[in-house]
This record gives sequence, structure tokens and C-alpha cells, in this order.
Amino acid sequence: MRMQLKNLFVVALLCFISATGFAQTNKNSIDDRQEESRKQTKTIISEGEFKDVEVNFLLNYYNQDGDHSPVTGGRGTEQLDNIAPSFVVHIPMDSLSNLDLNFGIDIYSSASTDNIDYFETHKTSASSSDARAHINATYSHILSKSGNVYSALAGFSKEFDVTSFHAGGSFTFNSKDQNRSLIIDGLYMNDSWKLLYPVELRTGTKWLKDDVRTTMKLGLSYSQVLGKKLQALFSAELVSQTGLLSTPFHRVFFDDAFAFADNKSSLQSLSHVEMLDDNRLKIPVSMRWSYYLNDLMRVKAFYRFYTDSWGITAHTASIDLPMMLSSSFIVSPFFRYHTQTAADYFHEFGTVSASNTPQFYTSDHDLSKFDSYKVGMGFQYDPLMGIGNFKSMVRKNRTTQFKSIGLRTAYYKRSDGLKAWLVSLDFGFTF
Amino acid sequence: MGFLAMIAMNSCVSVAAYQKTYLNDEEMALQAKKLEVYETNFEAYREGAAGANGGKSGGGCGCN
Repeated sequence: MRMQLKNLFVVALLCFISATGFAQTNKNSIDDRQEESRKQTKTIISEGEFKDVEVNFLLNYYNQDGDHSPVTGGRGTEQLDNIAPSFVVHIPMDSLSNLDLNFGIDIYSSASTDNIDYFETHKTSASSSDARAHINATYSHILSKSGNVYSALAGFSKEFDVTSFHAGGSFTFNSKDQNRSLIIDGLYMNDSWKLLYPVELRTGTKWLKDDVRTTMKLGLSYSQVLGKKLQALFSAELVSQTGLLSTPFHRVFFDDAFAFADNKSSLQSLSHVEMLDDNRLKIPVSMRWSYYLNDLMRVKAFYRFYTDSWGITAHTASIDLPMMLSSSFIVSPFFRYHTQTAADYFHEFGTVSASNTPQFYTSDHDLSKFDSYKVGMGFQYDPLMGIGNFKSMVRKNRTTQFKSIGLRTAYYKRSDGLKAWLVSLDFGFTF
Repeated sequence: MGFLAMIAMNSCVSVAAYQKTYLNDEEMALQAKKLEVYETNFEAYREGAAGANGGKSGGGCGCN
């Protein structure tokens, strides 16, 4: 009897231990599964799994021609063609931070740069070509308590004779009612030049003392809601440039060359390298308005006043009229007018005094007195459900959407005869 | 003058978030569209004036 009780006790004890152990395992499994689920959820949110990455592929073709190339002293073809593909990528990193990338390449052929060696070989058509690659990155973060925003940016570009990098940042103060915002921004740029002089002036003489251009910009923007259908933006900048502000391969001919304007062999010994001041202060100030006229049309207007230390004063005004032909299709005709005075150092071909030469001189018509206008049209197709949807090859269990198509074309004409036209395309995707 | 007028109207205007249907329209944004960057760039290259429009103010390229 005693043995039976003892055995019974041992069996009961063993059963109790086994039951307890099994129960423990079950409890751990539930906890483990819950913990695993929490980890997965946290991982998903931290990766921004539910936020779309937006990618825009942009493509531009630009063509210009004129008869005042600065490479040949303010006379000669300004023909240029440029193709510029680029990508703009917007990456939401979390609910408060974004990373924006912009990279692309400009591929151009230019009759002007072809004439840097104008006196070496005779060229009558645009055959010189080059490419400029560029990349920019901007990180922005919203401060959750105040709603203010700070950002930092950096970028780099490279072409055959110029290597540039830039860095900057901004801070945005937003009012609590989101009716006003103030943005303060700063930018620093450094351009290193390879000093390529016109072929006849490559004599070993260092015509220009600097080979670096430094640009520093301080900007202020203030936006204000002026009513339920009207808002405006005021912008002002202070831009300081120092160092190499001349273009090494731009020629200038003095008045002793005027009589030989059509005699190429005589001109060869009479050319000079463009000489500009090594500092320049620019002050552009602008206003921008957006007005909701009605469900069909918006009105967007822009005005800028510009002045600088080189004597240029300019006024620029433009108007854009987006029209909603449907909920998906927008047509935007636009017009821009610009007028400017000449820089103090600007001289037409053969008008700089050889006997009493000023310190600074240029025949670059971009710095001359002129009026210009630009007219064009924009189109955008952006249906609510996208143009096409397909399985993402980048993100698991997500859909890539072909979201929108945009097209913009413009014709530009300057009063000195320069003409240009361009067409741009925008393909928008979300991932 | 425009800037001063905007500041002066500050105290006159208060639009609540639910009243901003028109202001939040995509075409009402107070900035240039992505496609406009190409035009802004060539205007900065071909004109003596630049800046205060979201584009280049000078430098960063073989340009003015």
C-alpha cells in the first residue's frame, strides 16, 4: 500500500512537472509570436513601407541661334543644341523626413565653343560638343512640435572645363495656422575652371589671375495667404560672386580691329581675352501670386526686379494660366517679358578704345541692353488612378504606378536677334 | 511695396485649414513646376539677371 502511494505520488509529480513545462512552452510561444509581430510592424513603419517613392524622368531639348557670339568677339554664330535627361527622386524616409535627389546630364553641341580655335582651323558649323553631369541631394526634416522645417543640401557638377560643388541649407518658420511661412536659406558654390584661352592667345601669358569662382547666396522668402483664393510669395536674395568672373575663351576686339571686321587673318593679332571685375554683387527681388479664378482657370503671376554692381538693372514679368479642361487634363499657356540695361563693361565689337583701354571689357551680349519675350504652352495629364499600374520590381508586394505625363514647349526671342525654342517632357512614377 | 502690403494684410486674413480647398489646389503652388527648371536655367545663362525664382542665381556651371 505504501509503495503504491509512493508510486502514485511520483507519477502525479511527474505529470505535474510535465503539465507545467508544456504550459510554459505554450505561454512562451504566444509571447514570442506577439513579440515577433511587434518587431515586424515596427520594421515596416521604420522603412516607410507604406509611403510612395516618387520618381520623375525629365527630358529636354533646347535649340538656339543668334549672331553675337562672345567667343568671336560679339559677332558670329551662337548656334547651340542641348539634350538634357534627368531624374528627380523624392524619398519619404519617415513621416517627418524626406530625401530628394536630382541628377542628370546636359549633352550639347555648340558652334561658339567650336570657335575657341577659330584662327586655327576654319569651322562653319556646330561640331564641338561636350557634356555636363550634375547631381544634387537635399534632406529635409519637419520638427514635430513646432511644425518648422530645416533642410541641408549638397551637389556636384562636372563639364570639360568647369568642376563645381555646392552646399547649403534652409530653415522654414511656419505659423500655427499655416497661413504664413518665412524661409531663410544660404548657399555656397565653388567653380574650378580650366583656363582655356582662344588659340591665338595661348602664348604662356597668364591673362587671368584667378581660376576659381566663388558664389555665396543668402535668401529670404515670405509667403502669405491673402484670402480663400489668393496667396503670394515675396523673395529676395543677396548674391556675392568673387574670383574668376570672366570667361577665359571669350574674345574682345578693340577699335583698332573695327576696320578689319571681315578680314579674319588681320583679326588674329588683334584679339584680347575678356576682362571682367573679380567681384559682383547681385540683388534680385521678386513677387509671385497665385489666384483661383474659377474651377476652369487659375492665374499665376510673377514679377522680379534685379540690380547688380556691374550696372545691370532688369525687370521681368510673367503670367501663367493653367486651365482644367477635365479633372485629369490641364493646359497652361504662358508669357514672359524681360528687359535689362547693359553692364558698365559691355562694348559692341570693335568699340573698346585701344588708346585709352578701360580696366574691364566684354562683348558678351548676355550682358548687353536688350528686351526679350518667351511664349509657350504646357500640358499635363494626371488621372486620379494613374495612367498604368504594374507589379513593382523594386519593392515587394507593391505596385508601381505610371502616374502622369507633362509636356512644355516655349519660344524665346531677344531683341538682338537671339532665338531659341525648347520642349520638355516629364514622366511621373510612384513606387 | 508688395512685401509691405502683404505684411499689412497679415492681421486681416485668417483662413482655416478646412477653408483651403482652393489654396491647396496643385496648380496654386507658389513655386515653379519641375519642367520649368530648364527654362529657368537657360534664362539665367542668356540674361544678365537671375535669381529670386527658385533657379540659379549664378555660378555652378560655365555660365554667368
